[in-house]
Amino acid sequence: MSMEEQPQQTPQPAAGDLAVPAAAAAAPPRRRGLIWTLVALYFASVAAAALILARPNKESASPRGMNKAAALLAAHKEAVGWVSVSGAIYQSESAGPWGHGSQAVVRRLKNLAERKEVKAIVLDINSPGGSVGAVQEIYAQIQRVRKEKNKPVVALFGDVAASGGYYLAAACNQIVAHPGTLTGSIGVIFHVTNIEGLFSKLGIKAEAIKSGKMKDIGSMTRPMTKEERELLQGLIDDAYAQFLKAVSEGRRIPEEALKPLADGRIFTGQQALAQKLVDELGDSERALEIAAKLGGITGKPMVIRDAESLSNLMQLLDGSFSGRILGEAALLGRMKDEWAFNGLEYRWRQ
Amino acid sequence: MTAIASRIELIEDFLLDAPRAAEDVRRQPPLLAGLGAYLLGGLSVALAFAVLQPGGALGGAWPFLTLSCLWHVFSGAVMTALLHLIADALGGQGRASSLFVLLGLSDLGWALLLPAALLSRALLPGSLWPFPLMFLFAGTVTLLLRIRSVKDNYGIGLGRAWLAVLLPYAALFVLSLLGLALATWGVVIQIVKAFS
Repeated sequence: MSMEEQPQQTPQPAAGDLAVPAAAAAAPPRRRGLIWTLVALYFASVAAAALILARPNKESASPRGMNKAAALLAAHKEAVGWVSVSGAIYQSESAGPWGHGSQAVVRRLKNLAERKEVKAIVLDINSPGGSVGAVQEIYAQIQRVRKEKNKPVVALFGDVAASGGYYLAAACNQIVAHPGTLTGSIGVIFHVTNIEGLFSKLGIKAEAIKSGKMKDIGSMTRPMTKEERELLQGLIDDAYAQFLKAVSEGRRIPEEALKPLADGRIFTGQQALAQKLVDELGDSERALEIAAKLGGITGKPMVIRDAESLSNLMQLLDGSFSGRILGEAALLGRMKDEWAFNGLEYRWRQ
Repeated sequence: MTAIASRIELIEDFLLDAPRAAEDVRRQPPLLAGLGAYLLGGLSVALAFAVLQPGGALGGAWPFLTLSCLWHVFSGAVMTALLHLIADALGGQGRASSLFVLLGLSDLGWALLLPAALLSRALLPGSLWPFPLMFLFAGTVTLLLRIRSVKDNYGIGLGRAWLAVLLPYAALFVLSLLGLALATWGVVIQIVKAFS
């Protein structure tokens, strides 16, 4: 450091004000001016920084005062959020906050809705549906985004948006589908597999000791009784009524007019448009345009995807990883979803 | 006022007459002054970041400022413990408390960041590229001051002082590599399990 110069003391108001005591005076006088100047400069810097940070920072928010990505964000003060619902919709197996499944979709919707710059959200659905609880969890969050945050949500259908996938779309302001999208399949399903014959061939006999006659309803080791079938049908009817109500309210179609379409049949996007089950045929660009328009954005909107980059890693570390890494299309994942789930499903079964 | 003046003289000595500063600190380690120096280092880093941050405001800088100050004090304490052990093992003789103070004074090297950030903001508005350079420069100054502090506090040679200061960083580097290798191994195991 070349700080040895400055042999003489120049009049320093700052240093003069701070009556240097005897101890300080004992120090070599050649350096005193320098160190006090450095200290004064440092505290002047702190004061300047505090001043800059304390006032509204219009100038630094300009595109000139930031890097490219930040400038892009600032130039597009208004953005459209993008959330993808891909594959069968079930709750995550992980109890952690990083879990996939419906919890992740809800979390992403919530995060985007909280962001001031996000004026509307596109829900990109490519799903045959899933469990009733998981679908309704996302459905409720979409409604909350619309009602509490006043942010419109536009559904975009991919290859398939059937059953639970359609249930979600019913909560959205508008639905855009490709002409060849498979949609519809309004209905509920409950799968029971009976392996009694297989067990008897193997010489296995399963018995249940139960507190009530309905405790092992849906058991796969004995035939279903009439009473059980009636009870299960009651559940199905109730969940179906909920589905009908959601679609009827969301699409503003009277339930009576909807019922003939809601026997579980599937439609192409074009057929669905004719039945007023979707609003428009189009692609992702069109969905974005509609969302921007509903959100009051002028010009081309910026798209923000809430990707949760750490979520995959966290789930990996969680250990509940198994077939998920292969994706929903992988055999293991599919088998797991299709056969391991016990409960009501808003799901189209191929 | 006398106390402040004597602390500033200590900084002056630390910068320009290091052996004398080390001697003063060894005689009676001014722990509060050391703590204050760590906090100033943390404050400087946080303010420099905030000043250069696009759209940055003091409201958003508070948590970072607090964390930065705490980090500097915490890492200073940890570094003191490590360096004391290493310097001791290398044959040095000195007090950990005086090293804590000297390392705190070394942390004042980070104070260079703040005026540099302000200058950068004034002269090159919108450019963030000077910041890594400033950070590297201030970090190097701090590291050199630390090495000198270890040398003066323990009366060891410059080579041993370098070794003492760089050893914890080298150990951290090796540990990070080890952690990364373990994490990669874990991922591979999970993938193999998923496919089998």
